[in-house]
Amino acid sequence: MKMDKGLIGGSTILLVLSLLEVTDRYGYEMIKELDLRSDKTFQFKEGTLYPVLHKLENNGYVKSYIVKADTGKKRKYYQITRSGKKQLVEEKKKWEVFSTSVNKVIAGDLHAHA
Amino acid sequence: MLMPKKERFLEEVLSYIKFPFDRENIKTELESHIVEKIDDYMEQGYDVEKAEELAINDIGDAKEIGMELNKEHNALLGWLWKITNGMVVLFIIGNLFFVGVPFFITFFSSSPINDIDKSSIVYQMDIDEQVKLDNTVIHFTNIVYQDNGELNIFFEHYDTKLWGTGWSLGTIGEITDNLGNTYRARSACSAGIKTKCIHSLDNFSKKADTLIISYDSYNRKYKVEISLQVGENDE
Repeated sequence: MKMDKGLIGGSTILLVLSLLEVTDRYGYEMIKELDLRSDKTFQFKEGTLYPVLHKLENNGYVKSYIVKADTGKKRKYYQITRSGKKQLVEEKKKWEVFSTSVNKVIAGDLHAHA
Repeated sequence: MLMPKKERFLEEVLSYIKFPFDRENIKTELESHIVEKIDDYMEQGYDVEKAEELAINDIGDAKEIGMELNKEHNALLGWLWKITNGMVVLFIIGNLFFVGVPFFITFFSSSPINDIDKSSIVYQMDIDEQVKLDNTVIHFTNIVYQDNGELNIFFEHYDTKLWGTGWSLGTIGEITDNLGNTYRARSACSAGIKTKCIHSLDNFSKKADTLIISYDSYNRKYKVEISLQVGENDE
């Protein structure tokens, strides 16, 4: 199933920070992990991840460092910061409220008919 | 391996980035993404050209990505940041200069003893007398007697504490000889961590055989007696 880009849009920060919650990752690794965890539900243009990452870095939610592999390949790793972890807790809360509300709406408000 | 699609993509993305110093990093990051993706497609059995085409298709629109990235790499802030860093560097260099110059003078300036005309020297003595006033160490190093009757006392002084106690060396004390003559000294000092000084006494008695420097001020005292060479050089 393919998801609309706009639908992912609002939860981009939540998704990206969640991917970095446990371990530092580089961009392409995050894309692969996202595919794996979501069973390829989130099909979006991969390059759009980078403006998001750079924005998170500007906001201080993540920081980055370059690692040079033995093969000479350079990878830019991202690491969640303390303020990024706080933000992640916030985003998770917001998501809870949002998804609960959406579920209530689509299930039909039983009280309205009582 | 030539990858024209990849190059074109990167070039177009970078054309939207206004702050030049961030372009290289952005290029490196996007390029490594594309290259890894191409490798993955090739592992799946695609040839290079097809793999490149698929990878570029997956990454998205260069214009959209370039414009979004440019928003996060604000040129004005970037330049401000660069300029601020530059000023910090200049500030540090400036400070090094002001700290460094006294060091330089201390270690590389020649001894003031070289300023004395060699042909005028009647005798020269190396001495090693050291006294201490609070945290200031005064070290008498040389005596030079010139044919015009001028006696030069060379000494250096320095503070044992890095940041002085505010006690500056005003005078080294009263200068007399064993015959009871008192002398007024003309003094000259160099800058530096160790201050090198000369005190010059005019018309020093040829007959005196001991130079006495005695300090007695502010409840602090010392007395240095230096035996001089007398007679041998009388003409």
